[in-house]
Amino acid sequence: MAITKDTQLELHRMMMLIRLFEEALEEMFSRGLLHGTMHLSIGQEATAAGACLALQKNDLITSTHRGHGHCLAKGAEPYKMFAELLGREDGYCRGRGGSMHIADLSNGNLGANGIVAGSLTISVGAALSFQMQKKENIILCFFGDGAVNEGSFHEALNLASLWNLPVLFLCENNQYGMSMATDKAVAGDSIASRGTSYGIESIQIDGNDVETVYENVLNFKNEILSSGGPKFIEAVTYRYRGHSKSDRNLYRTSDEIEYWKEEKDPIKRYIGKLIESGISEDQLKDIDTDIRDLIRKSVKQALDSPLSPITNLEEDSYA
Amino acid sequence: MPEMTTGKALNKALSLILEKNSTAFIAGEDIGIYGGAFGVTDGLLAQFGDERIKDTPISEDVIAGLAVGASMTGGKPIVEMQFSDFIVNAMDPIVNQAAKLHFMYGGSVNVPIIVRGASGAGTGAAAQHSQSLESWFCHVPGLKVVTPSNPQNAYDLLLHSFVDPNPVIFMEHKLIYKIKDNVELNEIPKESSMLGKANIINEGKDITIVSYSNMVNVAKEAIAAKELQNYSIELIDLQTVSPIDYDTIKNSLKKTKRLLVCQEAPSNSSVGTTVISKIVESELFNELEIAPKLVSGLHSPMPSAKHLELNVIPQVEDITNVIKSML
Amino acid sequence: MAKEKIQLPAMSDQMTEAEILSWKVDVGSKIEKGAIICEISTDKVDMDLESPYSGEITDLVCEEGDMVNVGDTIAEIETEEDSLLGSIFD
Repeated sequence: MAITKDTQLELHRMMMLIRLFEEALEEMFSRGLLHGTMHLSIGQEATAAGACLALQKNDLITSTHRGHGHCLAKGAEPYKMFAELLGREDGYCRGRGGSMHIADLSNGNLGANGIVAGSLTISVGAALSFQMQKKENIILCFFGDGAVNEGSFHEALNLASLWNLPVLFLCENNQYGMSMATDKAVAGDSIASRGTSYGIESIQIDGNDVETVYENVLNFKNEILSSGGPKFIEAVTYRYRGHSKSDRNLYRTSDEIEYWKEEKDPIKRYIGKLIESGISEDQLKDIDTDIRDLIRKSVKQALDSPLSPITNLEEDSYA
Repeated sequence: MPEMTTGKALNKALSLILEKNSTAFIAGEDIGIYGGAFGVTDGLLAQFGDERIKDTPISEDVIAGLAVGASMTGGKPIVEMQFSDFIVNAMDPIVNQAAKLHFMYGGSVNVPIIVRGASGAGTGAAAQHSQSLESWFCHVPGLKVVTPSNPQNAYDLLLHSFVDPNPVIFMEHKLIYKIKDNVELNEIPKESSMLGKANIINEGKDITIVSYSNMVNVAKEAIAAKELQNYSIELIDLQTVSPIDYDTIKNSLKKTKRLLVCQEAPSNSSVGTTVISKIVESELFNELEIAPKLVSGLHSPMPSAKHLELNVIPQVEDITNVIKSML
Repeated sequence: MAKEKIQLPAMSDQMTEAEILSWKVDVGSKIEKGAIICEISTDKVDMDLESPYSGEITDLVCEEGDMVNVGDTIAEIETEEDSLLGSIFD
């Protein structure tokens, strides 16, 4: 299936947006502007961009603690995301959710979750709603390699398979939980084979090739809608930064990090591919400038916007 | 007004809910053709079909989790923990998800779920099938916790819980399932069982007894004891243990100036200790004539032998004796 | 090409200051973005500091053993790169 030039540029643009958004956050954190920690997805832009851009607005996603990329790729405004991380009223969650818990219902983002594997069973419920309401949509459930050892992962896959639910399970295998490498944590064969063991069609792909991600998600989405039942993608990728801001990266070598940055970076690779296919460097430079401007504008706007007021938080716990 | 058991009253409430709400559905273990371990969903599969009455594998985590996800996307799930003890396997979806999402997402989403469970002791089911864990959930902001005590309030409380936009933990003590009484099967449930409202079962002026769940029935028997016939005893059924109706309790205490709380659960960090603590902290402290007391289960896992089990659970005489000592 | 300041970043939510333990670069060092420029010591842990820019170190503003606050400039670097958010704060 041919991807149009427009889509290619969109995919590139979204990866750049995610990369620069995360780098802006890094800078803000360094300047002491952010409270709490962050789980940056630098290096994993292709899975977020490729997957979400293959979905429609009414398709849903659930996201993870490392979810800024998912949120942006599903259509979120950088301003409202910065505002959320800065505890502003204009933030997606009015400053109550923060980095790990951003939801954007209007764009079909059912929310990021701070509990590893926390959203797998939730996505099963949302898929059940689609099935009961006879909607022509799917839910794409993002989770990491750490999640595949949680009990809820197994319960969710088992039930989704039994009930033929329209969930696309997408594992972003960045090869480390927090400090534990997947080969020390995951018994048996590949993560994808766990999907197969529940009777779910599963595939392992290069998560740093944005077109591969896009095509496979689109493919599986169409299959889910035509023949019912969940699908499973294991997208192999890599994160450049530590798990969170307190991570000293003692569990991996700087050589390994350098290798992934130089040889496998999703953005670098795609730029190479786009230029080879005839897209001009100037066009890419324009996109870069646009996004930098957008990020700067959004950060400034968020910094200037009012803090979320202290309302009766006990009352706000209840609908 | 027909006479029926609590189990049947709940069944009627569920049936009414499913009839009137096309997005409502029930999920749980053995709730379909088996009719539920305690018969509460008996006949509903035949009435509503397997799209609405969904038997699940033994998977409490995803049973509760799917309720959260479905409720965020237009569904109205009522899920069952076969024994409320199994809710422990569902703690993440309930405590970290259901209770938190409305707040964390800045009010942009509601999680209107009911998680029902068969709780309590007295059937010889022993330690892992007899617990009263309601106070665990009272400790979590964002959840409501409801504990019916009889057929009528079970019916009404379930209907009220269904229309509440918050996640509700609905703990049905096993011993109330077989209690029979006349039940008004109204489409609009009674105001006296609105969530967060306690019900004064017996009016009096000498002492206030606060209780909930099956212990209300034990307390009822206790206050009917011959030795207490000369006393006027006010018995309050909390009905909802989170949030607690302190207004009703305080108004009662202004009259009686004596407080006794009775519960089956052990006392540490329980509903009863919370009630007593709140009253002691309040403006009523100086008006009390005697220190408040708590009659509670022993701090022990539930033994299986009958005579040992009865030793752990407060009995009628235990309550009668404590009342006598306070009057 | 422009001169950019390298400031002591907050490495954790609670960090307010750190001691410069040792410099790993000199004035004149040509480095890549991410290269380790010094080792610092906070109240919790010793850590390596990475350069946010590629370029040539033009100035080391403080000495080994100095206590520095988060946000203070510790070095300057001649670089072709723009700070993404610099224009908002400087």
